[in-house]
Amino acid sequence: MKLFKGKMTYVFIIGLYIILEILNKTGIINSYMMQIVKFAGINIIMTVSLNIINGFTGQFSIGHAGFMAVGAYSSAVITTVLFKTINWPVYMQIPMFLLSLLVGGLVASFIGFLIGIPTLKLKGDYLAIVTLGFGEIVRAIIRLIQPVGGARGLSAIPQYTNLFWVFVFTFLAIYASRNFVNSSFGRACISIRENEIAAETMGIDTTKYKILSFTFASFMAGVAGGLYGHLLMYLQPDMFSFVKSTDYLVFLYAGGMSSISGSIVSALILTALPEFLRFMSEWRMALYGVLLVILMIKRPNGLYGGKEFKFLQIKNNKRMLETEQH
Amino acid sequence: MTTILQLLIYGVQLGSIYALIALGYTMVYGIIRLINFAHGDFLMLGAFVGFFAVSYFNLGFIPVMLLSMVVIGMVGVAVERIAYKPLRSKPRLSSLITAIGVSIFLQNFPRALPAIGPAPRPFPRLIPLVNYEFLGVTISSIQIVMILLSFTLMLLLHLLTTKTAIGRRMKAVSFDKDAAALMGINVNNTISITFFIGAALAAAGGILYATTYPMIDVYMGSVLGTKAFTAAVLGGIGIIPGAMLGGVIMGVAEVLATSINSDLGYGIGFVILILILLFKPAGLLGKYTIEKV
Amino acid sequence: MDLLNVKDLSIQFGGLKAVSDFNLSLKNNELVAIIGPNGAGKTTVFNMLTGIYKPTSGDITFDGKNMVGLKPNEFAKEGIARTFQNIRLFNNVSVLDNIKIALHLKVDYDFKSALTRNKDFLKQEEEVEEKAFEMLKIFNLEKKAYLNANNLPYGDQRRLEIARALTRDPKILLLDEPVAGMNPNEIDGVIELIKYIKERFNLSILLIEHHMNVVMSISDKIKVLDFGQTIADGLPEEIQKNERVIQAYLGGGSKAHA
Repeated sequence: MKLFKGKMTYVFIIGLYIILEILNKTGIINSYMMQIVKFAGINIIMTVSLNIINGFTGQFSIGHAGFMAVGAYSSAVITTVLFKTINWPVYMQIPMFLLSLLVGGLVASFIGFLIGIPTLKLKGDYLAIVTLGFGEIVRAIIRLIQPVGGARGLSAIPQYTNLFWVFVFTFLAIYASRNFVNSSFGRACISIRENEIAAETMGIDTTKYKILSFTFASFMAGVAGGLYGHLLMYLQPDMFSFVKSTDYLVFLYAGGMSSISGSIVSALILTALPEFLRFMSEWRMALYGVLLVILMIKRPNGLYGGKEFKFLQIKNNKRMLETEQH
Repeated sequence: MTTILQLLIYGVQLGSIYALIALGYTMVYGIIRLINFAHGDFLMLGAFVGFFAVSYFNLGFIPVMLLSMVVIGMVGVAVERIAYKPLRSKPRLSSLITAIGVSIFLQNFPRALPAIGPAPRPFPRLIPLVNYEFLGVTISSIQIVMILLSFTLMLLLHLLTTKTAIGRRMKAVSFDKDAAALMGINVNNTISITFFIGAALAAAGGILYATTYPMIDVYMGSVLGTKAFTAAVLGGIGIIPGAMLGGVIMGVAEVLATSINSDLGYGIGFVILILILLFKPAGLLGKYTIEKV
Repeated sequence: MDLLNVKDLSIQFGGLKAVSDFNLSLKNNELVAIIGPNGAGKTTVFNMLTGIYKPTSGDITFDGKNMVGLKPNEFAKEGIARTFQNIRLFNNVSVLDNIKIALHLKVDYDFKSALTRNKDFLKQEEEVEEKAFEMLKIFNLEKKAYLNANNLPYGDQRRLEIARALTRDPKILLLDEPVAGMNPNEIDGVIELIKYIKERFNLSILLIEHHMNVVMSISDKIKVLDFGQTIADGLPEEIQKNERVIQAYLGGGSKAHA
């Protein structure tokens, strides 16, 4: 199983993890900042997964928080409502946590599959509004389900999400996405984005691949939701409104569509940015809005549109030397 | 029976507000294919302009409406020139993010101003409340004014777009921007006028909304905007009569569903939308354009 | 036996009958040209023969199999490939990947293998890459493999589109105005290319073209459409002298001579 090119990437990732843990233990980075780091990881997973649908497959899905909500609630139900794991011994808690994440991902991917179906008939803005609608319907339905707390919310979720798990799942999401894109599955999705009719005439079942991209992406979003719930220890349906979905849209487009690297960078920066602007108190959100507008005007394709970092590229260097470059 | 009729009145009242906002969405979409996420915030700003107009100048209902419509109309033009015009030839998705940025700004800038702040404010009563009994239902003066005013504005808009020269220009630009320019139409001005009208209608909707539900705050435009956008798509995005139809349907459905269960009312609009799109992918009155092979 | 047999194919859009009673029997290694003024329905015929439009009446039998009602990707699987009037390349994707996408059906690793990049996956990807480069070499595009398709000069783009269509070893190739917008030199190049691929890939070809010297020099048979109806059908020499054809072109204002 060939992983990222170059051992340096692993050294970097593991090293980063160790450094962060040390900084935390010694109090240089306090627990609040650590939480920001964990949020950043979760946001990376969300943004990268949204990129699969909107960036690589060229669809227009704007209700991504809905999948996160489904995953968050499903996984929280496993650990709190169904199995009440908070009193279990630690060595039992972790497998249950991982199981709950898997369940979150599966349920979310099922919803993603269901949403994939209307995409067959709808294009562009109509698809967008349907995905937005699904997101809001998910939220409305959760509000009605009393056993998970309804509109009051679900609390006392055990905090199983720690830095280690965030690193693990963020890494897995990036790795899986990169491999997806560089396979015939990913290529089929890209062909749908580029020219759906041509893709069809080449034997690609565009229906199947649109649904696949939704299902794959929503699985990852569901896992991210599970991590989210077990970090905040509390869930409430209004946390997953259209506003949350727009967060991920902003992360995605600012970073550059079809660039996994761009998604990583922008999720990191934009998760941290409001914290850095905190000194501006009431003015920070207004400034955030202005910065967004300026960014889009200056760089309409986002920061990294279409390009990838070295460690994410899969290139045949020998062959490339013999060819023209641009 | 009377309850249904009563609910219908509330529904039409709410629906007419949705329709006013939906019109702005649909006009802007029709002319530059942009979903202006900031549109709901024009409603909010309109309500606040009205609030301050009454607080400082003690104006009456009609002057407040007119003032608000003109001021917010100009805000709309400014927003278009500053944030959307530079991106006209770029991918539509960039405009979308810009619209989100504009919305964030329009919501949070007033929030930061000490004069406004995050707390909800009570909107003053500008229309004397008189209840009338009619066929066993109660209809208030406020409701009558709202419904009449909304439909008058919609009628004026309809006349404007179908009978006047400026309306023809707007249609031309929405069909083909470049061809319209070649015909000597000032595309920039036409787009600005469209934004002015759309924003002005949203402002009117804001005043009317605040007249009925008198608590206003900087985030009120968000939810209303989303519902109005849904209404616009339901009727067929880009189609003006569609926005009116969609708005009324949304309003009535929401009121009826809420009477059964308040949470049901929240999601019902989206459910209706999805059902309609399954059968008519371009909305009730929309025309689906087939891609040429 | 015919490779492709089309009987009384018609399609109606609302009140407009775009194509009426189109008939065709295409044999192995045969090149049939479909010509006619603009708007005659030629591309519409192609769209029906690739599943993009469903005919309102008529039959399409390919290699003995009834094709009407199948989806475009199923037409492709059976072995019918095409190019488009307005080139439909995957623009923001490399030349190499354009071909790799065409090899989609040749690959059978599963999702898990793709996500983990296991041995089976890597082996098949290597094969895909080899085959893709082979195709590019045939069409003289291997040096440009990593350029984005939309950065190619126009002539190369057309060649790439043809290369991509042939990657799956189709039995029939539909070419829709392959020399549109080219100068006489480039056109000669395409004529040679078409002759070459017909031999090399043992293809049957359906060609829509307006340049008569192209049509006359490589067609085995010609069909002429006007307003959706077939007004002439026969050998190149016959068509050249056909009164109705000349009328249709002169009346319709299209290019009738090279």
